[in-house]
Amino acid sequence: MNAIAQLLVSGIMLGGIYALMSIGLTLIFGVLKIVNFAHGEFLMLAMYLAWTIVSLLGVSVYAAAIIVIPLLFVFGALVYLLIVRPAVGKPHLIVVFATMGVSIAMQNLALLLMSADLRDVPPVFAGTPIRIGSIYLRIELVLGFLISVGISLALMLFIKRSYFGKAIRATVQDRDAAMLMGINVPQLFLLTFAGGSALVGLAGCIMLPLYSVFPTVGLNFVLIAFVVVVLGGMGSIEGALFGGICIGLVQSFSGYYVAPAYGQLFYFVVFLLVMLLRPNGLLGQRGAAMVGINT
Amino acid sequence: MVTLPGPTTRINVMSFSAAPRRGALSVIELLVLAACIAAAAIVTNRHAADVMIQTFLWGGLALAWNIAGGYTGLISFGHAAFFGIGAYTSTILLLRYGISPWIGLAAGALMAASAGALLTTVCARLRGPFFILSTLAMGEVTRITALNGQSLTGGAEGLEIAPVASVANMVFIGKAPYLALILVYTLTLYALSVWIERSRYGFYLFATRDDDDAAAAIGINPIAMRISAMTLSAALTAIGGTLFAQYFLYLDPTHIISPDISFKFALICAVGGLGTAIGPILGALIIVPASELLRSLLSQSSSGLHLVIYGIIVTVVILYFPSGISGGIARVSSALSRMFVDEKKRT
Repeated sequence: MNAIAQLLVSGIMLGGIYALMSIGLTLIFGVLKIVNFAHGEFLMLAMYLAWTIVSLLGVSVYAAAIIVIPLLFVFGALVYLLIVRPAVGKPHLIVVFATMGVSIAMQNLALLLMSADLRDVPPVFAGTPIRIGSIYLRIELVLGFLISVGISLALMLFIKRSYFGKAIRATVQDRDAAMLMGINVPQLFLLTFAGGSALVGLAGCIMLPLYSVFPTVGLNFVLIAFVVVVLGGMGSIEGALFGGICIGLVQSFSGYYVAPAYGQLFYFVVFLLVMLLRPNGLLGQRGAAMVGINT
Repeated sequence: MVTLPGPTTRINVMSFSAAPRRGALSVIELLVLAACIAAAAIVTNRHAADVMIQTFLWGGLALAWNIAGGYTGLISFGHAAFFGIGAYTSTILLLRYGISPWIGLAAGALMAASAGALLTTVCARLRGPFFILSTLAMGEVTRITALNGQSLTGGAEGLEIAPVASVANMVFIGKAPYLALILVYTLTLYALSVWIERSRYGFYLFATRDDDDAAAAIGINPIAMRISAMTLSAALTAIGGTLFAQYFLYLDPTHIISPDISFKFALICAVGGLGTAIGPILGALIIVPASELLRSLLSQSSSGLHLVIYGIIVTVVILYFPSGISGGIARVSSALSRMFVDEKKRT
């Protein structure tokens, strides 16, 4: 019983963090209708930036986020302007291959500059876990979960209530009609891509105390992010939260009851089953996967 | 379901790739192929032969990927699974049961064909990113299975084929027999690709790729076309996997079934020109020797730099030559011929 409660809670916590990591991807997909295959490398960059700031300045990794988030925002804007914008409106394959080229270049640049060593930051809270009843949790995990859920809820509210959010929803529904209504769609694309990248910056800072960073760390997490996003329905923030928690639970239970090595196998199987049974994701709209876009 | 075509409601998967072929081989294609065969015939340097073997093998594998990805629009980032199935099937049959890789090659192709048919049956109705991500997941499932099936695949330690040279074992002394074998593989795939481009079957594939609703309306079964193209592509990829295993004599899941391998098939086609027979050959002729050259030039000072440059080249080529190098050549040659015709008219 204790084990189940422990697995349930830590799975949900982990899922919240997976959700934060995936929100940038789902937001960019929903608005621009493109899949950024360099998303994992953005996360890797964020983690390395956070690591560099922590080891140079000796500040806490959460303080480093104040610098990492704007840096990732600017980086995302640059990638958008140089690589994504020339390809928007062209066959989606061009964006896929162009971002994949970026991903290869970034991964190997990291290998070149930082070597293949695993890098960690010292634990922020001296390793004392929180104890609730018989459940033990790392403070970094709980904090990461709370920040993730807080940001997701704030973002949902922002998209629902603000003028900018309304413009985003209009563009998601019909790009041309939104443009005719006077929404500056190119600018919206730029801000969404840069904003999505900034969220990856935050995710990197939250994940650094929990995971080591190395040049190919992105590949591992981007696959999880894809599964989360598809599971929840592409373009949906609440879907990402839901999908993230599903994957977190799958991982923590299969890791305990079967073997950690099979954890990945399980969530890819879950993914393929979802594709088979509900290809638009559990919360996605009907028909999206059949057209290849989510409108 | 029926959707209205429009600039944003429907993004055409591959409007930029080549149309069906009308004439026979063009002069440029003949020149490239003749140069490949001539170079293979006269090469004596061991290192040069090694680079050529890898180039042709990757060219052949990219041609196999192109049948699904280029001609039918089934962009797969999971082809490493078929590659791995081919390599592992023949190697396991050889190591455990002493069955010749020549038979193992067919067994691997059959296994991969079944896997390809199964995958496409499951995902036949998915489009765009949804299909791509499903293939990626399929590749990862295969890799993790191979990594954990220690008793059969040797897990992370991998499998080693004893270098006992004999024709039955498909292990040879020197590079020349490998070069000949792989050249046969690649040229066969090339001939098959040219046939597809000229045949009724190929026209069905193009129709399915460009607009499956319209294809269905004129009596083509798009799902059957997708399944058959993926099955063929998977089987041919698996044959390349067996050849790879027999040449390198070592296999491990992390290197054979990695997403990087799948990406490489796709990137070679994209750089050379998707949906054309010569594109994958041109892509391999550029990417494989260039990365080998960059690796040997740069590796002493810094690991990974050659792949940084490779990534940048891929991005630039895709953004500025979306129809690949073969598309660029076609543009230049048509511009030249137009100039030539204009000159004639004027005089």
